[in-house]
Amino acid sequence: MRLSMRNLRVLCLLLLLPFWGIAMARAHAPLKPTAKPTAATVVAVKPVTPPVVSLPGLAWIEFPQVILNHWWVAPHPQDVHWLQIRPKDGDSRYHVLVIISKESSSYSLALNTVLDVFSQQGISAEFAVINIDDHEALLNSAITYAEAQGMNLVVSVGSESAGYLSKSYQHGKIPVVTCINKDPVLLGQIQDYAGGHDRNIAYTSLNVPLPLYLSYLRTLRPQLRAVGLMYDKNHKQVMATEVNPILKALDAEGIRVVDVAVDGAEKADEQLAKRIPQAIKKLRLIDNQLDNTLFWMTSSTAVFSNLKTVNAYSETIPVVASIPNACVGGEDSAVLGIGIDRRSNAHQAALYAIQILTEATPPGKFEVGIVTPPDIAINFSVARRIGLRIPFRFFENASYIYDYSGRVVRDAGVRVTY
Amino acid sequence: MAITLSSRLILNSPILLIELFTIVLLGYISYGEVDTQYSHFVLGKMEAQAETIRTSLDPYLLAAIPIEQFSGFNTQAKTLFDSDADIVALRVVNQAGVSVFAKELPNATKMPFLTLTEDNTKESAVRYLESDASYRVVMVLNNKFGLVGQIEIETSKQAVTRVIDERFRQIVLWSVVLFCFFFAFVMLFDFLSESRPNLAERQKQIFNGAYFVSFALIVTVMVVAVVGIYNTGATAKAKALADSMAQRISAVLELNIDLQDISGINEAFRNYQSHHADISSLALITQEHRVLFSTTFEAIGKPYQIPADSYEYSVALSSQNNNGFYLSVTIPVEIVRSAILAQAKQFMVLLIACGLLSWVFLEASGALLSQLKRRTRSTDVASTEDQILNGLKLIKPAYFLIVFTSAMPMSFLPHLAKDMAGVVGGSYATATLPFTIYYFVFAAVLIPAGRFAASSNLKQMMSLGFITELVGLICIAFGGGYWLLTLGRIFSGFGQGVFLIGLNSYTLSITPKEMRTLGNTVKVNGRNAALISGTSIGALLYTYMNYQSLFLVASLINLIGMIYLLRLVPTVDEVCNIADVERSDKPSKIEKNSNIRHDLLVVLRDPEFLRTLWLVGIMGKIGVAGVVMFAIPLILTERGVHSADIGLVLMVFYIASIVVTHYASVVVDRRGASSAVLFLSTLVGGVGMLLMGITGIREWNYPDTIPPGVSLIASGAVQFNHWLTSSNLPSASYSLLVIGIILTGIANGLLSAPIMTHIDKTPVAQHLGNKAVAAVYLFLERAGHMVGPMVISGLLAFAYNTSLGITLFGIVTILFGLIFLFTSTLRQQRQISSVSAA
Repeated sequence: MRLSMRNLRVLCLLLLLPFWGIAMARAHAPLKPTAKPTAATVVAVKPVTPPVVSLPGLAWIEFPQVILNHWWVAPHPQDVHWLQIRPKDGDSRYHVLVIISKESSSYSLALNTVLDVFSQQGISAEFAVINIDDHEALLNSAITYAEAQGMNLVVSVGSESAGYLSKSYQHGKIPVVTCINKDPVLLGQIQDYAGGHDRNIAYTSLNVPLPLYLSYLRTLRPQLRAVGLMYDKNHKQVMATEVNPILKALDAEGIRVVDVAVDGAEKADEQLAKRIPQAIKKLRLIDNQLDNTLFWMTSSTAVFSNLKTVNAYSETIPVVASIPNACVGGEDSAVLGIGIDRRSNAHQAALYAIQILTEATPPGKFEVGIVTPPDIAINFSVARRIGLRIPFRFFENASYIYDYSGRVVRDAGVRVTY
Repeated sequence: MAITLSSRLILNSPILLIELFTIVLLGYISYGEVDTQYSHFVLGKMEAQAETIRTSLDPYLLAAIPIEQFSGFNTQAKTLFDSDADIVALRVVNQAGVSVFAKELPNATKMPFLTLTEDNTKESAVRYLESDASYRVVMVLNNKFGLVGQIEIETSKQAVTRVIDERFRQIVLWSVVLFCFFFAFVMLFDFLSESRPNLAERQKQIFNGAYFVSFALIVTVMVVAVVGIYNTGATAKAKALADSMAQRISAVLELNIDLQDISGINEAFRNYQSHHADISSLALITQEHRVLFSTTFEAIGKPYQIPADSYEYSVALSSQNNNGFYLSVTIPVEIVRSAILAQAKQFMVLLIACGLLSWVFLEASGALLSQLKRRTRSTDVASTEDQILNGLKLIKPAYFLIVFTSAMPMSFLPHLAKDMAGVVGGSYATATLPFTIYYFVFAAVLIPAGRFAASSNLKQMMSLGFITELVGLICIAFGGGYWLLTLGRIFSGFGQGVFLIGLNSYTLSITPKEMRTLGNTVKVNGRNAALISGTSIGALLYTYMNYQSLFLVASLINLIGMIYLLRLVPTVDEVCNIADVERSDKPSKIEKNSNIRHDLLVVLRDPEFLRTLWLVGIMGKIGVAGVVMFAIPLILTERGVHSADIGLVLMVFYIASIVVTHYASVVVDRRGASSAVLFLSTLVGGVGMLLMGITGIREWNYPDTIPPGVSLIASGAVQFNHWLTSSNLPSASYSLLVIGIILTGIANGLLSAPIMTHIDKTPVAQHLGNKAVAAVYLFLERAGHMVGPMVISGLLAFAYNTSLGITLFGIVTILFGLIFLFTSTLRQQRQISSVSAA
């Protein structure tokens, strides 16, 4: 038989027939119910009361008058352990859940900063604030409540809540912004600093990138040879995000490290008093004159809450802290604090939050928010005592400066006159 | 009969007009250059002032406080406005573009601004803008979280020009005085020379001398005034820079912090110096005049001394304990010197251009005077030769002017054509059309014009050339579009062609056989002088005026040329009647033109003629029309080279060409080595174009769709340029390009006369006669002009619009030259004859 064009067409149709049958069958098959309810169904069954909180509450949060001028702050009508914050001028367009990890003055500052940025930018939002006091179950309840209420955004304050959300809510329905948390990459919460991931969380970090930090230390001590590293070895997050990376980085740079480690806050004072002189002996073996040596104080609370002891024993070796808060007025202070101030980090988080709310930017698009240049605090009283000259670049970039008498003369960048 | 004053005035008008033209041109170009250079000082000063405001805002930026909360604006603005009367507006604008703080004077204008340049390498990105009425500097404000706003400072252009105008008023006064002296001198000399023949004989040299002395004097006056203007600018900039740095240091003292407790101040000074390249030194000085910190290590701790040859400005630092520290900023006098040197380059170009202009017109002026004097003295009878010479001297300025106007846009026309072609959706190829069509019309009009010349009034014919050229210029001046530009070039090509034939016929008509060389000299010298002068003056003017204004100026000069032709150039009959020229040997135009067709068919059968035409002649013309006239101005404009410098480059080309033409003719005539000289021309020209092309190829990321050999050349060019960059030779790339241009000019000089000698020696020339073959050759050679821009633009497109296309053409030129060398029968004949002679 000759294969004519007509025969060829018939053959093609016969071959295609079974595929057409399968496609039609699939098209008319009944729909299976989805395992996860849609947003519409959740909203339809929303609970009327927030989860009951029998834990510490939020009475410790202080709101300065400048915030209260713009915001109305009150306990939730159904549960006093929740705070409701609404703008004074007009209705709220967005609803934000703020999850605070635990009681901390830093978190109080962070919340105030977020409110301040929102009011500066004219973003009309209502905040529901809860303190989970490091209870994951409570965080989950709060999230369920937020989803039920159809809230637009979750802001986590503190490393703990950021950790829980990274673990269980990375693909959650409501976008999340983290605030006042340690480096999420070093903690394994996310792979890298660049944006473009598929998670529904926008991260920020309190840690200054190590190469940048080392460049600051090199400016201070161009021939840096030895570092006395002060830390609390029981503080897992500090160990993961600061101590271990610092040891690795300094080793790569050929800088010797002498440990000044404490075991928790209770014995810290006593241990520092004993271990700092021991460390100085070892440091002298590396750098006899101690001209190219410094103490690096990590953000371990156990260490920086004992500044008096640190100062008493550190002789003329400059103490540089990873957090600006460790450089304070008076004599009991680190000479320099180089790090990201809590307020700066909260400011960054607030900007991410606003962009997510107003421009519907997917949280995964943001790179890890690290504020650069870092905040710098200088105590000239300590500097003069130990004979340290402060680099002009540090002076120009410093947000906090304390003069020879220990008085603050520049506060959050603004000159203070007496 | 005595010469009346008005006649004397008219007869001396060419030299007086040239003097006036030179003064006006010098003044105009100097003003434009000073305006440009002084604006750099002003913009630098404004940038430093913006830095001062930013330093005040720094604490707010550091703390991420909204700039709206900045409380010191009024104080800062008052200080700034009090210290600088030229500022008309100061604003701090937020991210949303809303002006949060502003202080504006009533004379601040609301005109649209255009960005001049941007600098994103500095700590805060800076943009420099200008409107018709103001300069504006915009400094971007960033805090830790990104962009938060910008500072805007505006200075009135009126205030800037006021400084320049004050000085230029003196220049105008001096210029008037100088012109009056020159005028008086010319008239007095003319009067005295009437009774002293020995003076009259030296008139040309003396007028030339007077012209150059006046040129030198006016340039001196201008340089003195310009130095004063730049001094003012440099001092104002030094003050602003000192204020800005002083504010940063004062921040330490105001907190009562001892400067000895701060390290890195010397480094901060040096960093500031690196961002402001004009600063030669920066020093913090104690009350006892000792240097505490400085950009120069050796000066620290020693008594302060102002560096030699510097402008200094010092400012006291504010502090709590009034310690008497002050900050000193110095700017080297060198920056003023280099600005003057940039201007000196222009003066030099103008000296050559105006010198040529005066040379042409002084000859004409002399001819006019001698004519009139002879008329007034019935006893004084002019010799035949004198009359012919006078006729030639008087026609030369007319030819000069028509070529001058055509050459004025040469430096920017390719780029203008490309831009206009871009608007109508065209490319390089479309941009070549106005050039190709110009050469085509020019060539096409030669034969019919020749016929017309045989039967018409030659002055009228040359006037027709002026009129059509004028129409062409006006089309472009008032057109502003690609098609009108093309139409304008058609008219120009027609005008130039008609004028050239008219001139040719005129010189043939007034010169006897034995004086024909003089006629040719008028053409060659007039054309070369006009090309050099027109290209360079046009390029200089284009720096300070738009193309439409320049075409209008060209139109005006063209009109003056036409009036000159009609009023002052004698007709053929006037010259011939007086000179009684034997005209019997002149060829009949109709006969000549009808012969061309026949001659064309004959010469095309001569292989040596064809070899010379195709391998050397047409290639040389493609090189001139396509590379030098079309591609190089285009490429240089795209590389950011100023129009004035492009004009200079073209001027160098012409000068090299003219000088070499002179010597090459001598060598070829004496030694008869025309083949070797022509090969040398292709070799030198090829190398020149190769160099010009290579210097533009800094990277090569194009797909390998072109032949591997070409890619290899491109890679080699990239390597060469990298080596050149790493060698740190100043302006190495630009210097090589200029060398390439000079080599191409030399090649053109080696080609022009020797190729005619070579053609003369071809068998067909022996058979048909030298003139006939030369005429056919000159006609066919124009094909190279016509296709030049098209061929080169095709090669540029082939090489992904890079200058590699020029390199490829250079290589092909060398290859063609080698083929010519080894196949030329004349060379072989010469070798055979040499062997026989031996």
